[in-house]
Amino acid sequence: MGESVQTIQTVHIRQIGEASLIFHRFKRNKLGVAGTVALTLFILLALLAPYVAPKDPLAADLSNNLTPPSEGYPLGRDELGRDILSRIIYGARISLTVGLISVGIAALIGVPLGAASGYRGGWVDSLVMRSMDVLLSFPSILLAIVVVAALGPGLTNAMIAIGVALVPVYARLTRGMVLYVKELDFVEAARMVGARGSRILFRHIMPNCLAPIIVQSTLNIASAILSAAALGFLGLGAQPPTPEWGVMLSKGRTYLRVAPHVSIFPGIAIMLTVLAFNLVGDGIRDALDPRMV
Amino acid sequence: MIGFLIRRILAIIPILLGVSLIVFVMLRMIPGDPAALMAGEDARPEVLQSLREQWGLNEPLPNQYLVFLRNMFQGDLGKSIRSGRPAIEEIGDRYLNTVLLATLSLVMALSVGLFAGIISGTRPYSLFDNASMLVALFGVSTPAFWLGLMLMWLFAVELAWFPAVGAGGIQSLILPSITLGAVVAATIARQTRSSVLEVMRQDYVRTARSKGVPENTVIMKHVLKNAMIPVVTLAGVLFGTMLGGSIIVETVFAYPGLGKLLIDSISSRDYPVVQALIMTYALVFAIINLAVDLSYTYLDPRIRYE
Amino acid sequence: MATPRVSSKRLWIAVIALVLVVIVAVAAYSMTPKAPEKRGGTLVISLGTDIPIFDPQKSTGMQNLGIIRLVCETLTDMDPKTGEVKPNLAESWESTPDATTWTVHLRKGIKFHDGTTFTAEAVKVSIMDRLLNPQAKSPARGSFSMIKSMDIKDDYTVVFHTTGYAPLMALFNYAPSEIISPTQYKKLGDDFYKQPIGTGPYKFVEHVKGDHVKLVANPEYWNGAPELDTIIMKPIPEAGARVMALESGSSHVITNVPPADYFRLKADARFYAIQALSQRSMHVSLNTKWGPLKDVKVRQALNYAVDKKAIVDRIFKGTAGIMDCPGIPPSAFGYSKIGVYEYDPAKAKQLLAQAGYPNGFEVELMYGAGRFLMDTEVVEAVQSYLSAVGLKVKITPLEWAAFQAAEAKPVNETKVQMAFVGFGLPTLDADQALENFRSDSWPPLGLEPMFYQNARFQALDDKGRSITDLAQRKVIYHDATQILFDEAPWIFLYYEPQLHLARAEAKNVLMRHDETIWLFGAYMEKKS
Repeated sequence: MGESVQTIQTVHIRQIGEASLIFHRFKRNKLGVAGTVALTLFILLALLAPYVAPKDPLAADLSNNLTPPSEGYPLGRDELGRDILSRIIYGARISLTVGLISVGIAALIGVPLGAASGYRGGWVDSLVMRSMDVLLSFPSILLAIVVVAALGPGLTNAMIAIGVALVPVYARLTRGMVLYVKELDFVEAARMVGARGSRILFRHIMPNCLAPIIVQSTLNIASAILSAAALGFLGLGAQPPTPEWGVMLSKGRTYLRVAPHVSIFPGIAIMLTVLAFNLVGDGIRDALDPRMV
Repeated sequence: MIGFLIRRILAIIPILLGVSLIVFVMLRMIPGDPAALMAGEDARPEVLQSLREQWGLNEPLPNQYLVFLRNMFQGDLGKSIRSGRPAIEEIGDRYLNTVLLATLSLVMALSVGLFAGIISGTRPYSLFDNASMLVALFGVSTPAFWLGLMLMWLFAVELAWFPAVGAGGIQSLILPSITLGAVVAATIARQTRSSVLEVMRQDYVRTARSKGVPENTVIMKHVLKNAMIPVVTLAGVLFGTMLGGSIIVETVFAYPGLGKLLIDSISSRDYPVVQALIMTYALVFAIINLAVDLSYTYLDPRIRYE
Repeated sequence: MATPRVSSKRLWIAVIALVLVVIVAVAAYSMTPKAPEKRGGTLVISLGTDIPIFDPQKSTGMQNLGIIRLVCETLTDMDPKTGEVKPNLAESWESTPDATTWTVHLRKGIKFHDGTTFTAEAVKVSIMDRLLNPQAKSPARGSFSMIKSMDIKDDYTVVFHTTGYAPLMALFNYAPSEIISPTQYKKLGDDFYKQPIGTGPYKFVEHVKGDHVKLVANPEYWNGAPELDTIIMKPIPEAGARVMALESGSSHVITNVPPADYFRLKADARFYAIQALSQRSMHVSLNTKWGPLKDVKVRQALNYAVDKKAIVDRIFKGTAGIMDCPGIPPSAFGYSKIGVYEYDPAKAKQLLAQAGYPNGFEVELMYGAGRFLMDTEVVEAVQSYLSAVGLKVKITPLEWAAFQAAEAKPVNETKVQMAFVGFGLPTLDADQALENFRSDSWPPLGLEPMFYQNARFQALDDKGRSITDLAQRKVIYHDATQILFDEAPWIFLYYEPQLHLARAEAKNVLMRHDETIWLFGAYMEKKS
């Protein structure tokens, strides 16, 4: 749970040339940089999991389960004797996948909807926005739970569910941006020259909308990862023996007293990952808004 | 003003209709005989038959939807498969528990969050600011279910100050409220701080200061009221987060509220109750959002005439 | 005028006399036996599952039935310490030598909670109409199918006609035969569960599904008023939460305690362990009519693939015994040590390849989560062992009621491929264990979905239940279980350990071998 909610409502990109200025401001933010480093580490671990993980995350050895951190098993072993470190590394891969795919689904559906809505206006706009309102009438975790309840538990369905829950965010954001940008001079100019609607949309308006979408996405990936962990924890997302962090945490509950490391480490992994995303998101937002000294 | 109010209230209706459509479609999407889904796998044939009549399951889909709506307006959302009681009753039994939890959490979150946010905002980069923002940062990153488990372990087991599970009066509310309130408090603190900072920079604040108005009055009269506007908007979103979070927190602490009912009903495939709960959550959420919108209008007169 | 002075000697004598009188009085008072204070109090007990339905003829799950027993009693009881059959609602009985005709004399002067009198009519309604009647669809019907008919001789005498069944009175201790009020049944029919009426020491107050069951004392109980005022049963499916409830005091008694917590809390003076005999055989039922499981080689392979010793050592910390006699625990009659499929994944893979599944196959494993101790942990361990030999196992946890319903489907409708479950033996007799493997116990008549049939086995079992010579029966059961071992219609696992705990102030809580929580003599000790 816990969406690190920062819907960027007031970001306006003035010119493309601002990019390097923004980058410099970001660099000066120490926390943001720390977050970026952590994030890079996370992504590397996820991508290189099969090479970095010391053991097979699914190799069970019940005869030696629940051992605390020890020789060869730096984070200890879980309730079926599997190496927790390897499972956390593979878990990073799963979390990254979930984050990217959910947000990808949301963006793929939400951005075109929002763009069409903002550009066309009229009944298209009303229809799309009312539908988004319906989706937004649920807290996102609830919507995800509902979709999973209908589709059945499992990681794929969880990704779809989380993606669907995020669609309105992208739709609204894109629509807002399009509405603003389409009134700008250079778009007027293009129209006067006779450029077609869709061309204007793609070549002129959309590139200017990208930045807030990207910023939004970093925060949404974090919330998608948290949602996936929550669903896993509830037994509605990834299923055992998949090494998903939420599932690992849930399994460790039974052993909280005798082998707390089984729950503690996945919990820390989730927290640090989300923290990293939040730091980067904060950093970008601060860098974009020069009034925040 | 009244016209605006009425329009906003009426706007909820199409949304709820949309939600009911989603709920309706969801039930039809699940593989299996809808009557068996609503009555349970081992229901007697007469029961299944009467359900089919009651919900028009033998008719084409659009008619079914109309029947569904008609039943819903009469307060009939089906009977729980597990208990045999009307789904509405199951909800009625528990909604107060969730309301209590949400309220207490919100109170905690607001008091801690606003306090921290205001102090941080008025004393930026101080020790307090850095410390509290660091804590808040961890707060928004911590999964509530993990926090709940750690708190449960520390306070309910090791120290035995509070009961671990269930609803035994005020004590069993404490840990779940702290868990639920913590993340929300962190978000409120961060947002309050940034909006206080924003407002403090405004010209009229400088004017008030240079006029010699005491600092405290400056804060109370000018800064707070305006700084609260974005926070109030956030509150609406946060309430949604809390509704969602309550589902998880209730499950962790086995707290008998709507959230636990939802998860239990999903795992036991008690679809009528799931259906009824979704409608309930949507309704509650819509009402809260309406309230937030209205208070937003009250706080910022500029918006009223949009 | 001066007051008459009492001489100091007299004064001293008076004082000493007074002191002596006081001492004697106090001594006398403390030595008189005081009338016992009524001890009362509310006991909260937490099981792992909720009672599916508060109706003895419709519910399953022996711990659940144990709670229902407090309201609706059985004809006979088994002594919680010795297991001996004792009279309860039935006062005495005789049978013909061939065990086909049983005359049972009922106890007089017992009233139901609704004021009506307990007579033979109640026995007829409860056992014949609700339990044995095929239309009533009782899940336990198969276990009582040896009763052919019953006659009412008079208000307090009934005669049962059976196919020749020696342990019949032991069977009447089994919870589905609990006696209900016929008047109430006539009033409510199948809604009986909403306000159940029996003869027991506690009366039903309410059952809020998923939340709690509340019972209050029946002061007119025929065997003496119970000590506790109220009993509350709160289901807590998650074991960790259950343990925390015990520790924090919100529950006084909990069942199915994870071994690690069990040992830790046993050593703590605030709690005590409730001893109980282990008699439940935990296993994975294999649907012998489905897919690859039709082949005995495959079933044997699955048995070689699972390391039962690791499960017993690591998950149960040695408190469980490895199953070495199919379905029969060492505590039951008819047990003999048949053997164990040793852990040998290589052999398992070999057998699978021989059967034509070198790359394994996909299969679904169902279970009723929360019902059995460490069930989720065992199921996941089994999944990991089967995966190691190439199978792709999907785990489907179900709520107990749904699992019960899934297992009850007949062979042409069933979706069950593998099911992790345990079979308990309330009669401690092999016959009850083996009835699962008979061809006349296929669901919906019986409780387990193996759909197994073997004529040789069945012939042996028929013989075993009809003769009374114990030595002969033992030999028969040895041969019968050997057949089962070779044919492997189960993945044989372990006997479930009974690990239950109570808080020190909840006195006298016992667990009978049939998993009934015995609360008849329990009371809460008030802190002085």
